[in-house]
Amino acid sequence: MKIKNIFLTLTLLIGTMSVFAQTTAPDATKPYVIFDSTYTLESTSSTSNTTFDIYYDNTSGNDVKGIQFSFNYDNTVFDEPTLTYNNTSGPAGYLSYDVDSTNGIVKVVWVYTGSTTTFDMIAGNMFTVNAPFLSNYTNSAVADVDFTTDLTAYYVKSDGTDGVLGTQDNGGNFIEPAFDYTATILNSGTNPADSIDVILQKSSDGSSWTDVTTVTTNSNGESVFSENLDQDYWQIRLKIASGLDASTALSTADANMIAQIAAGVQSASGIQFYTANTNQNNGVTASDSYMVFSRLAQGNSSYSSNPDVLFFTEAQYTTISNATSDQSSSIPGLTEFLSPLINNTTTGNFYLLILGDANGTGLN
Amino acid sequence: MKNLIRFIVFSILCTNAYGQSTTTVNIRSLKTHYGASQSGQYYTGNADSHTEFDAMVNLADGGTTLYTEGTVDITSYQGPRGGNHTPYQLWNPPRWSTNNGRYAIIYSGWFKPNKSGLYRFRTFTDDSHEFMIKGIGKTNDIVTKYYGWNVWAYGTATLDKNTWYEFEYRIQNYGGIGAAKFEYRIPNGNTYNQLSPNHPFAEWSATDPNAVPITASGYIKGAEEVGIAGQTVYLKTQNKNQVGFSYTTQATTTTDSNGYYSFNTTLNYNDYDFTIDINPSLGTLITTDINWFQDRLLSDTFSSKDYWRMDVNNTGSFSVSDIYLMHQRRHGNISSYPGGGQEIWSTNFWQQPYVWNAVKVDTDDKTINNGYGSWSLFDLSNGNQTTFYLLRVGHKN
Repeated sequence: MKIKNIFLTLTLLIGTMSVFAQTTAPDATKPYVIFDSTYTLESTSSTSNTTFDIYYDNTSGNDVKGIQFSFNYDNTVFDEPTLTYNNTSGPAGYLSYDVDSTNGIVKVVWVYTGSTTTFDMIAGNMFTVNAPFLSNYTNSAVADVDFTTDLTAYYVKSDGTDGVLGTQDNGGNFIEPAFDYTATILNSGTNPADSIDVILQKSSDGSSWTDVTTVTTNSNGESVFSENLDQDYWQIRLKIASGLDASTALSTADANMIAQIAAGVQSASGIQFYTANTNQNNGVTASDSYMVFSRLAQGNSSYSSNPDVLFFTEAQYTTISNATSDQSSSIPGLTEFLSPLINNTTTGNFYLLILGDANGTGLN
Repeated sequence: MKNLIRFIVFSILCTNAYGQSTTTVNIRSLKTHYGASQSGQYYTGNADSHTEFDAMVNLADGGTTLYTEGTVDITSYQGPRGGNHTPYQLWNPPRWSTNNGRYAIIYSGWFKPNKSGLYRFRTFTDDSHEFMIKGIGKTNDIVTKYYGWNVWAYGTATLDKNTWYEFEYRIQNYGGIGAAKFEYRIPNGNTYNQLSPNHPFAEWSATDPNAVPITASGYIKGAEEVGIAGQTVYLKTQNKNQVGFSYTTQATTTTDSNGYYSFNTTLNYNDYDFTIDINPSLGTLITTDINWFQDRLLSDTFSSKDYWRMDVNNTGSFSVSDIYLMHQRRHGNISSYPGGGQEIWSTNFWQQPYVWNAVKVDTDDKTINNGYGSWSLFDLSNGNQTTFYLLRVGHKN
């Protein structure tokens, strides 16, 4: 368990590091314009446009009075973009740019227009590109942005001659907007289910689903998802595969309790109409108790024809929990859990009940 | 007081001349002999020769100063009418002194005789005089002359009634009473007639009727073929058919808001060759022009004109560095561009239309062709109009 947590932590760290901004000059040989490693796309249904910054940095020690360069963009995705100067070097500058939407090329020229002879451009997110989606764009792969040679990259030296402007492309990749979601898998309201593999799935049509990632629940029963999914485009749900082995939750105490319920020594709670009905047939009977004793005695990891676990939504679980009668005819539960769509939500609680676990030990 | 008198006299002269254009001639009234009984620098009492007379009526001689000049009706008593001392002092040209004065009166201008043929002339003055008709083959152009006083001088000239002749009648008085008469006898005539309103002899003119005033006009335009205001333009001349080039400025003007200039001179095209010269100025750089150049960087389309006006750092290419330097020049941080070189290039369409026709449509770098676009605007015909085109660094137009 500890090794698994360390691994998760390392994975998270690596993942976090990979999305750190890369916006500084790679060396001190010359000034640079820089593309970050990734840029986030706007949602396809958003009224806002995708924006991405072009950075400038210079550790060469030479004053820079102006720059010119060009880059490309995916003109099968974006309509004609606009460019704004973010006043990183003050207001005394003039920006001009040209968009060749046919070829997806943007040329950019910025020059200092002030009177200070000692002016030097200041590093920062110098330009912001505002790129609207084409009207026919839905969702597809987006090519990254790259610097091009359509306009030779120069910077202006102090003596008014051209110097070579470096172009640092750290990727310029576009990713879909972030989708952050925490699924909590519970045995009961106070008993989280640990080490459950929860799969995040997406579908463009609601019938064909693709696994995005799998996150195992932690000790709090939480699977934390942080993905780049345009939830305005994708249908998103959770899946927990059938076939879980809940042997650790079963004991002779469970078998005895089932027998007592079957004998009428104690009455069944709403939950126990599921957990004590091991064979899922004819309510709670001596057969259900026998199934547990038999499994324990033989050391089996599963029942012969019944699942170990049934899954429920929070609403279903509440209904069951509050009931004084068997709800299984109307709420049978799922052996393979497929959640309702979780688009536009950030958290969700889901419950599992273990057949034979009459005393509610749960998976943890 | 003296100036007031001169002004009054001049005003009277002008008033008299008004409306009498057919008998109006020029008059110049000089004070000679320093206004006293002494010699000038190059002449003595009475003129005894043509050379001495030339010196006497020359303002370069220290003894001679200008009293007044203007125009008069040559048939009036301000003209050479009245002399022989009878009737007394009818001759009344403007003079600095009428009483024992030392002066010279010079009538000049052009006349066209009323008839063709051999004219006879006689002249009588106190003191010396010369009557000259230029260009008819007389020695020193002199038709009649007398160096002394009160003696008729005779001469002849064959004249054509359709020809304007330039003349000069110079008279001097070295003290005492002055006198001047001018009489002529028409071809086949028997009597001399004193010049008067009843005997005008000819049609007279104070200006050269043969003259062809030099006129010229045109435009100074920029790279975008839009006129440039405030550019200085010169009209320069040298004597007709002079060998070599020594043109001097005769008139200066500046272009109007349309870049238009014009010269309407009184200079005689028959006497002068002329040329139009310009002294173009760079003018103040403006931000809108510089921004226009910056936007042009994005177009990836350049013209030959851009090698002059846009490549200010003289690298043979166009970049943001050129734009930066324009701004620095605009702010006055630099007074010239790296690489130096010519900042204004000009051509004129009259002389070299093929130059501008090429520059305005071509895309190659013509600045590398030494002397390309240089011009020499000579051999202009009168009234010619030409357009100068300027390409100025940092200026769109």
